[in-house]
Amino acid sequence: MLQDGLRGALNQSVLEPAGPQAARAARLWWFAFIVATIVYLLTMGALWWAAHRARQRERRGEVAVGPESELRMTRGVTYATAATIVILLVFLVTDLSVGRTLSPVPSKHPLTIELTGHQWWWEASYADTSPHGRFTTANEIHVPVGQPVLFVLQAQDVIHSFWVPNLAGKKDLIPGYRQSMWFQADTAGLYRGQCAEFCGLQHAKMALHVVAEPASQYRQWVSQQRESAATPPDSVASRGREVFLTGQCAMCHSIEGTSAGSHAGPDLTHLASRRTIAAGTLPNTRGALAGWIVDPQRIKPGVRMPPNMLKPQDLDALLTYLQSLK
Amino acid sequence: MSETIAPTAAAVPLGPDDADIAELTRTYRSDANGLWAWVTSVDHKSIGKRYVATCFAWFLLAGINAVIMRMQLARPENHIVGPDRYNQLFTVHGTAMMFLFAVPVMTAMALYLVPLMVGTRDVAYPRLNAFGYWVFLIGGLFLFTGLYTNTGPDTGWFAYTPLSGPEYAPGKRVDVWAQVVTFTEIAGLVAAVEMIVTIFKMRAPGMSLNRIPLYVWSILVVSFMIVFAMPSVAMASTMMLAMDRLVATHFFNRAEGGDPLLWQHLFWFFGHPEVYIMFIPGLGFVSAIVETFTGRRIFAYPVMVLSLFITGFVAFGLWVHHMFTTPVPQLGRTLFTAASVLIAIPTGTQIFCWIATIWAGRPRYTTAMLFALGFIVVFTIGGLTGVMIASVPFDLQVHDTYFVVAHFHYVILGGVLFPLFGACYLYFPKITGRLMSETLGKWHFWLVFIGVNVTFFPMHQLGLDGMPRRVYTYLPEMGWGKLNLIATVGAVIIVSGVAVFLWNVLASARAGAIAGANPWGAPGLEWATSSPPPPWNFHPVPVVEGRAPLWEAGEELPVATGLATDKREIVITTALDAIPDSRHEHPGPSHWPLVMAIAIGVTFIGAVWTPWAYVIGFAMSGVAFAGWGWPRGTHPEDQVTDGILPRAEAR
Amino acid sequence: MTRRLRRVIDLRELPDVVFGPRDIMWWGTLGFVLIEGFTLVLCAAVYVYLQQNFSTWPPEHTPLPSLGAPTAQVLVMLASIPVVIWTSKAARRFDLGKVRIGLIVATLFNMAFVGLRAVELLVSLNVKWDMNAYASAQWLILGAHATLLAVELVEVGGMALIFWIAPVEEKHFSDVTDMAFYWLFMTIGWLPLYVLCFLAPRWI
Repeated sequence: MLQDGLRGALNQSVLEPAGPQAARAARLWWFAFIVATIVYLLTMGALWWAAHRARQRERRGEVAVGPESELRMTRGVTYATAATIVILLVFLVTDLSVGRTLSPVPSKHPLTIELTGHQWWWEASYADTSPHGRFTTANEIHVPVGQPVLFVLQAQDVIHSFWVPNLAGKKDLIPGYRQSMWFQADTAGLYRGQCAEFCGLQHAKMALHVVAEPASQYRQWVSQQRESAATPPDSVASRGREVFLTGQCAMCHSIEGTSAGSHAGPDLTHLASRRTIAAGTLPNTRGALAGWIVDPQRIKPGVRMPPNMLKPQDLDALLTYLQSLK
Repeated sequence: MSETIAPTAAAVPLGPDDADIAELTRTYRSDANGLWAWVTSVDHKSIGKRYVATCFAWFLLAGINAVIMRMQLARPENHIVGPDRYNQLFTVHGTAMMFLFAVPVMTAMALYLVPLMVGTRDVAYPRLNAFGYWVFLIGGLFLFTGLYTNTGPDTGWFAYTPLSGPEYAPGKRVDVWAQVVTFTEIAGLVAAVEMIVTIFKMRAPGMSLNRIPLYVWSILVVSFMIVFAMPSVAMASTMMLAMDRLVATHFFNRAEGGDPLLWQHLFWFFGHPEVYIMFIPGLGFVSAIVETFTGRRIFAYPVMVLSLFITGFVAFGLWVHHMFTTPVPQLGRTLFTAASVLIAIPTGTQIFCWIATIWAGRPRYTTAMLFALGFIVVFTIGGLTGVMIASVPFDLQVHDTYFVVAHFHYVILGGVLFPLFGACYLYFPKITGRLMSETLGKWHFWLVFIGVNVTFFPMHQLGLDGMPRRVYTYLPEMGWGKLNLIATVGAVIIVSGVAVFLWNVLASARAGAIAGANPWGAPGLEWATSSPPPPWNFHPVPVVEGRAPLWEAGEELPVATGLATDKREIVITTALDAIPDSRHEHPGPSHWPLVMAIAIGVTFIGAVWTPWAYVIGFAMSGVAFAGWGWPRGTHPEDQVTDGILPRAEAR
Repeated sequence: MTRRLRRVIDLRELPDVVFGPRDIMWWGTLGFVLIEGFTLVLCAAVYVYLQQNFSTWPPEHTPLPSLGAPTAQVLVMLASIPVVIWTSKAARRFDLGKVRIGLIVATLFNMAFVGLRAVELLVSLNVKWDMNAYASAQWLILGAHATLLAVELVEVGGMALIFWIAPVEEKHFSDVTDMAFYWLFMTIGWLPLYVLCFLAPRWI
């Protein structure tokens, strides 16, 4: 079911909450929306009525309103202002109470993910008490359903903003600052998020996916991610690894268990296990991968990845190797 | 009040004095001809007109940017422009609309109207006024030259560091932005000082504080806001961002102890009041329109004035609500939320007062009045969504999405563009002597009104559907295509409305019906003089005995006589009660304001490339300063020579 | 509609040279004092804000500013105030001779301000602007105030020239008093900034 997440409309809506944070924000929206609609209709009604009355008076040939009307006007404006104040205060109190309940993380030792924003992709490091338990992935975050997840947010270059509307509001990733936020997914599913603070050329295509899955599935995913990269299963894949390690790829990307250790670009240790490539832009298919490797500038103009002039058989081998990195 | 304007002469009727008029005509005539006379003019009406026209030119160019952006977004994965071009388009759109249109067009209208409304002959410092215009013109030309030479700023109209810093924005694009901001802030500050002094010291005799027209009050409030808001962004862009980029200071460089959030604080300390600086004059226009076309004074004048002041004051306590997604302490958020919610009260009260005025009056549904009503309909939506996004949990969801784009376009188009269009219909006859076509006006109104709603209402939904702002495209799978297409259709409708407006302006200026001094039967002093007004505006100077002078004056208009006609003399009155206090002579035409503006232009445009431009520019400014201030010896009778005062006996 | 005009006031007897707040030039000066004063306040706010990013101020390995020239600057500024007030009073009496002398002395004072400011920037601060955020903030405050000093030098120097060689009119005496008003802002306004830039780093 999750594999098909990219087909059809993607889920990136404030109004379809899948966790407590987003749910409260959505309820607050509906409350504000209804109140605002009533206020708006009343105001427009008053405007229409005022215009209508004035016209009526004119038709009857009355010249102007008398002094007793001054009193009525004073009363009308005073009541309307008083009502405005009351409505705004009610809104303010509701809003602040929602804000307070949302702030603290409801768990002492939540699952912690360090999220780093780069131009234009996301690096996610899963914290663990033992160094062996730590692992790093990119652009696809798995979380267990029903557990609060704490994110520690930072940025390497410019300001980005982490936002998965179905799960929670956004927080900025600011160079030199460490901010935190948390959310919890109550329903299993694939949730899309994308950078919400303008960050340069490919701001529009700096997306990520949050995969919320049952605890057992999540644990399985974690243990798989902790592994080093699989050894190439066949000679074509071995040839692909050769291409990777001797060509441009290894200058920016790392694959655990090989000599490729640069962190300028996303970690590719388990590339094949991800649903998308190019920061949530393309489905992770062989064809898309090939197009991306050969000419990334066509797909995402300005992206940091250079084009790669590979011989067809080299490209083919490289693709085979990358697709073996489950 | 009667003692403040105690009659010094018997109330005798005065005919128009032909000899006086002939001499004034000589006094206010320029020695130069044609273009040079235009360049050296210091008449606030001439400068006001070119200022407004220039603002509308930038409005059209920035509007073209918007249309290209809407075309690009009309469907997913469109390829009309790439990200590099798109980023320049939206940055220049925002920068131009804010710094070159919404704020300065309101100032420009005020520079034309306020002296007429307070019954004086010009603004306080006519040459400084001309200087402000030239600086503004240079700034606008610089921005669009940048855009059309592929050097347009591309980091958004608030140019967040470090994206706009030396490391991530190499090249000169952001420097163009920083200096355009400098130019416009200089022009804005100059105009604000002009307005403050004109309103405080140059009101017609008898126009005490409680008789100042509401529009003039709105300009006074806004001018004070400019004085305290604009230095912040001028300092941050000219002295900090530009210096980080030019000479490697470290104000925003985290590695050397600088702070990217400092930029956000300084920017929004200016940027939020800026929103109110834009639309408070709009509120003033709405008051003027509603008053004129209901034939009734605006209900609850003191409340209206107080509301303006409260709005202007609280506007400085909101800036952090642009920064809820950054690390801001909880207490700070609570305070800023409270202020952001409560600022709706004074504006709400003003809307109720207008409704009461309409109820009690006899509304005439002219185009101007339609735009005032359209303002209430559109602006209220923007105000209500503004209250929503003051809430932190909700703001964290829609911040930097199309919901916010919808919100501020409702506020700005509703609060600035609608009142401005209304004011154009109201004052066009005063400025040109001819009425605008009401038929075309109705077309104009309905096209813009429908277009604005069709364009921006769907954007609320887009934001809730998760569409961030400032994206050059989006994936087809996101499902945002339909609403974006509707918005693009709306943009086309707005464009057609604006085209009708332009046609109306051009056609009416040539062949509109002759207006006469007061075509609408309006109450303000600006309607007491001819349309268009003579260069000296009033002769003799009007005296004010109530809040709606022309409605109260009846058959006879009280006036003050005795101003010289052989020099450009104005009367200075006391700040509170407007009691005549002294006479002041205004300067004549001068080319030095332009020279000074060019010196400033060389300074800041040169500073994009080299810090030595400041040295060269300073020297040039010194020369311009000397030319500006050097006495011409035009009044030998006033000259003081060793110990001899020519007119000591008179004192 | 033509209205008859009813004369209620005659303005002929009003003075055409006035001083202080009665004169609109004074109000213009006040406007620019507000703008520049608030800009200096913001510069100081930037300084204090950036200071929060450091545990020591000045930061480690950054020398303290020297106090010699800055203190001399403050003393010279204070010494100039009586001279300028004296000049202003002479101007109110239209005393051409005294105003001429006062303006020459004020110009010399202003040259001293600018010279001392150059020494403060290039020597006393002991840091170049691009060293760190501390250095940038110091240069920001001193530099912003330096523009005031430089502009005022042009103004007061020009005024001295006018009073010595140009046809002086009565209204120019009013301008002298406005210059004095601005001078007080420029010099007294510097005192808290002196404390912030040169003394505060020694205390914090």
